[in-house]
Amino acid sequence: MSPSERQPEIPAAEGGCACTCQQAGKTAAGTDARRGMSLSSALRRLFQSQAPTVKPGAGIDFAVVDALVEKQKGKGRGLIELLQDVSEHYHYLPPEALHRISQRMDVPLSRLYAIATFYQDFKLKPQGRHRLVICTGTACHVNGSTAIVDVLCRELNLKPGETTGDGRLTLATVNCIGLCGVGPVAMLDGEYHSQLTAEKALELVKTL
Amino acid sequence: MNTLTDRESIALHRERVVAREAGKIRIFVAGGTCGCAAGAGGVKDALYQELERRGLLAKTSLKITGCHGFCTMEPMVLIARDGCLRIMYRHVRAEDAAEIVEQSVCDTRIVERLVYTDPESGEKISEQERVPFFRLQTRRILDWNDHIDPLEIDDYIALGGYVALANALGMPSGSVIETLSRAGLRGRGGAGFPTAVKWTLARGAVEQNAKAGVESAACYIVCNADEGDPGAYMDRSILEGNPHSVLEGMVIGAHAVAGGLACVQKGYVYVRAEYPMAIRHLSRALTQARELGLLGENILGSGLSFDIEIVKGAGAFVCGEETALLESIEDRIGEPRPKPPFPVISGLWNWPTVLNNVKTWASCRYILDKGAEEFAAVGTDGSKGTMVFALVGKVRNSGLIEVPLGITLRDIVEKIGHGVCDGGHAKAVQTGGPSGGCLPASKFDMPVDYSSLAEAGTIMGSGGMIIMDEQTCMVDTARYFLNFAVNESCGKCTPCREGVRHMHDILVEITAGRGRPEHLDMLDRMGRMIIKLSFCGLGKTAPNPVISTLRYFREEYEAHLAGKCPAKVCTALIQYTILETCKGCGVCLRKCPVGAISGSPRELHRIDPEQCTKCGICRKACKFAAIEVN
Repeated sequence: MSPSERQPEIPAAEGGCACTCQQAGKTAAGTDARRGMSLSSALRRLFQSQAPTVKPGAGIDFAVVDALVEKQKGKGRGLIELLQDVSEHYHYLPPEALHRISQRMDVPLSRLYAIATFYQDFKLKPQGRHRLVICTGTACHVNGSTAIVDVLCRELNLKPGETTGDGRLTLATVNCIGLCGVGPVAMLDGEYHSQLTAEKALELVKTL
Repeated sequence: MNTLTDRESIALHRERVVAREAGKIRIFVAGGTCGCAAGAGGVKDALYQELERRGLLAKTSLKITGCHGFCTMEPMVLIARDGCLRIMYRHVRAEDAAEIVEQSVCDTRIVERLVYTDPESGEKISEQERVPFFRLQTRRILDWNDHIDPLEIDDYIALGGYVALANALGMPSGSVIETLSRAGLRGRGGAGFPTAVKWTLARGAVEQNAKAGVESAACYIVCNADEGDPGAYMDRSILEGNPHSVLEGMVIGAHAVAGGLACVQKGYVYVRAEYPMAIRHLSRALTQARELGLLGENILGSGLSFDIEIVKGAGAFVCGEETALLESIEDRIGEPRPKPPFPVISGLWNWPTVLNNVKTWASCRYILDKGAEEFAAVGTDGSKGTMVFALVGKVRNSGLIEVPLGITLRDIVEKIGHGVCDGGHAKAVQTGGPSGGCLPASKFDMPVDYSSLAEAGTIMGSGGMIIMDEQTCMVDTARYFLNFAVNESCGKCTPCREGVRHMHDILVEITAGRGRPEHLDMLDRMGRMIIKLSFCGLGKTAPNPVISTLRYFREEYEAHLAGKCPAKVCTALIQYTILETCKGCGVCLRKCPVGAISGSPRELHRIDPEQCTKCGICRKACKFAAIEVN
């Protein structure tokens, strides 16, 4: 994953810090919070810079978040699991949902943000309707997956981790899916495609 | 399902299961993630329909199993009859089902065209045991993968599963650890720490807590299945194909570390979220083990109470480091903790915690089942037993192999792997993933064990073994691994966060043709410094790929400094040109994704170097080998 995907850029400082942010550590939000910018406004501004066709956080049904929170509450641990469940439902972590979890679980928003930006599975931007993941594990790399990613990036005019302007496709890379024996491998919407070539990859994208 | 209440009931249950299946012809379809990606599901459905049509369902037992290991031959089907060697069919398609059933199930004939053919002698080999890929292995952890429907605990018990647990529970905890010590088992996650020592330290800590009467004392047993090393997938395969072997090992561990002592015990399996099938099979295995009373309160009447929970990773390579993994289970970001205290003394929520790799747990099961002597019968003095490797990259037979430690790299690459694809030569073997190094062909006769690999500048790691040929650029490989480390560094300590990034930037310069002679010494110096100063294993090993390639492939670095990439991989240093032999067929022109090729039909075509992105599609497409790369 590109570093840009892991640590989304957050605009420069504004306003006072309203939340506890000691735990944000090295994250960009932590830095911004130290500069005096509130995390919630950092998150809000982050989402304002999204792809125009996908309205961020549109139609958040708090009943869904609340039900997932209830499931986790009282378990002692499972905050990451809760974020995974929420992320699975929305295909990303909407800021409204993070706020809600923060209130309901009595956890500082900064801690949720630290987790959400540290682990690569969490996305803070809405994802495309289709998801093409190219494996860049060593075996796939040796068999030419990097060249395939380059071709796709050029064709789609995207960087790995980005979504097309029309919200159709997110192109991502993964460190290893574990199908090293039949690489290069791609996963399109959960379906595996083995022994990939640049040509096959272009065809895959065209079918969408 | 009846709960098993004592140790003897395992054997009785096994007899019942074996009697139920006796005399049936058994058909196994390899259905790990790779098998399924190749179409194993369709093959199984077709076989089922054919058996049903012929009224053979009662006489046969059709199972979809985990991965058999021979990934290049997927989808594979095995047919086993009592008293016969197993027939192995490879590259099976759904359309072949009728013929397979007619020839090999109704009759004892063989479908010749689906049988493995030795690429050199041309001999058709129908029995799995005789195929060189399998014949040269010592499969102890992987062999049950061939016969078990991972969703059925009875399949596992039928082969002798949970016998090891019954054995262990019949021994005092100390004897279990002593057995592991005699076996000489070392951690299979990479570092090779002696498992018995780890368990003894943990037991000491638990005993101390018990003696001091610490209130609500706890102890944790953790399985590290966060297999993040790119190029390694054996842990996935074991969890998918034989999850009970890991669970059984963990219950044995719980008994050994805290059996008979007053403390709450709990197990966690930390598994990558990228492995959905492993997670599915593991949770089913947990449910079934609980139903049979092999997990939960008072396991097999021994007084041991222990249960296991799955924790899904969220995509952070550093969480494979033990203390970072513990942080992640505790719902924090995966930044490693300072050591000491080591997790065996103060791990999860500051309680003694034993953390071992998937293969280590599965090996514990084997040792308690077959005995320490049997385990130690293969291997070398310092490295006993077998190791599972993922043999991948530019090798003809790629897949998962289990070999005795001490085997030579040459045997692995040439005999099991059958050499390099397309008749090339193996230039290097990379072991240990981003923490390991690359070994040149001149080292292929050295034995594969913990100490020899360390001396040669690499590590065993979790078992990734990537074969590289002349078309693999070693500088690019080093850059690739450092790029990985840069992205995966948690950022806690400066040498790893900043140092590795600087090394990466230098390698980018070199691969882009902007390298300077002093860069090579800088890389070596920085690498050694980062190894000394980094906080955790990630940083301490991240420079290894650079240092080992500098040691063995310095001439490739020097070629890059002179503006040449010998493997023709680094795009800034190569150029595609069309030779005079071009027939003007136009295939390359149509295939080029950026329109960089021009030319009229039946005339010599031309590549515009300004537009060419060096993706290589044209060269692969050209039927006349008229496109050259320099």
